[in-house]
Amino acid sequence: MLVGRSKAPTYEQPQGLPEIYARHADFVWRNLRRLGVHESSIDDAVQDVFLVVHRRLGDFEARAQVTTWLFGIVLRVAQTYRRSATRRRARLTDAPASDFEHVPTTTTEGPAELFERREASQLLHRLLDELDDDKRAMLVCIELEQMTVPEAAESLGLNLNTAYGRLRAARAAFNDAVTRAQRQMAAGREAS
Amino acid sequence: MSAPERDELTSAARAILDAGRDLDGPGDLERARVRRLLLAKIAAGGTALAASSAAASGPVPIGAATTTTAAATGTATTSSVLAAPVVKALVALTLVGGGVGGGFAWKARRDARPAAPAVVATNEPARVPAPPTLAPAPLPVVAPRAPTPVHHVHVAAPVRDEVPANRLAEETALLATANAELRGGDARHALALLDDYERRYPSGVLREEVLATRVIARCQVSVGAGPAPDATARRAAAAFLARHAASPLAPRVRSSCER
Repeated sequence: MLVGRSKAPTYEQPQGLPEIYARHADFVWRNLRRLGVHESSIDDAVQDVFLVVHRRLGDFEARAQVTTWLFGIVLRVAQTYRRSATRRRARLTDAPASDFEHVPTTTTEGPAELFERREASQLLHRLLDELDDDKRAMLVCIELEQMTVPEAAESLGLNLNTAYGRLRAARAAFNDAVTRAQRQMAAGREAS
Repeated sequence: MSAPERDELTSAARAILDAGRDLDGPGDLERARVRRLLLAKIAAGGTALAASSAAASGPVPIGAATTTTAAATGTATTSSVLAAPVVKALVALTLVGGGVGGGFAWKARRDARPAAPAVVATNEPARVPAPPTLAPAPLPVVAPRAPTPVHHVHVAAPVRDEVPANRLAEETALLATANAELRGGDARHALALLDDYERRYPSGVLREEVLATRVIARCQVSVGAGPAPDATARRAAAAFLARHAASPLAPRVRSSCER
């Protein structure tokens, strides 16, 4: 059952693709990355999201925020890309998972800041990689995009009770992943 | 059911998530590059996106949704606000066993990491995008690109990476302007713009799309002078369809010229 609202609020209807891209390109980009789309595929994935937006814009109803609607599209595109990447890795058996990820740079960023961003981004992605798809998406919605639980439920097509339960499970799984990472890093220090 | 509490997360997990909130967005160059590629895909499909491209690259209006406003401005401010939470998050992972004597464990990880270019090269094959597919409605379905080896095989035209980004943007803008003229009913002006395109970009990336637009414009001009496209326009359309039968623009050419 999809989440229903007794008194559905209405939101501003976006004017068109240029406006949506200007406002939401960053949202789409970062969430594709958080949902596991590799940096090498990010350009194509972002374009695919906006091509879907372009095609479906007429169907958009202002009962949802644009970001809620967009996240659902991002989620499906990310799943498609991840499946494809998994198949590709299976064929390229000698190719290890990348230990280096590109983090977009800003024009004002110094080397130290860039390094810190890369480290933090890698760390976050590694931890998110340890979650299953459902928990990962929920954690991204709530903890990174700071959606409300009803908004996340709508983005993910869940009823509210399921969404709350999944959020608890996602947080627990993320805690576990952090604990494992801490242990691994401690073991690494002892070994060195 | 009551809402879960934020403290369901440990302090270390919370620190990592807080630090990661502003990460992963594109930089200015990445954002602009993808916009150009998107424009290239849509422009020849008759979409008015390019006509408003200035809006797409402009600043986010004040009052936009909170998350997106933060996102759009995040890259410009990240360097000044991120350092503390990032360090906090990384330190959180090193605080194991009641001490910080080990310092930043991530430095050891950095030292152990293979050189970045080599890893990138072995993990993900070099990125060679196909020439732009400019599809009229319906637009391409969401699907990942073909596996890279196949991708390479099908790239016959110069790859986009060889085209300066500003030139691609110029090509795209010129073609979009021609399409806008065409939609506005000024097919002769569209043809003049296409002539200009071919003078300026004899080896342009968007040649197929320009040719399709030219054929449609010719048909539109001849329809304006008679009940149906003249023989010359129909021959041009037939030649395009014969040579580019699989083009996503073929249906548009067909509907414009086969009356």
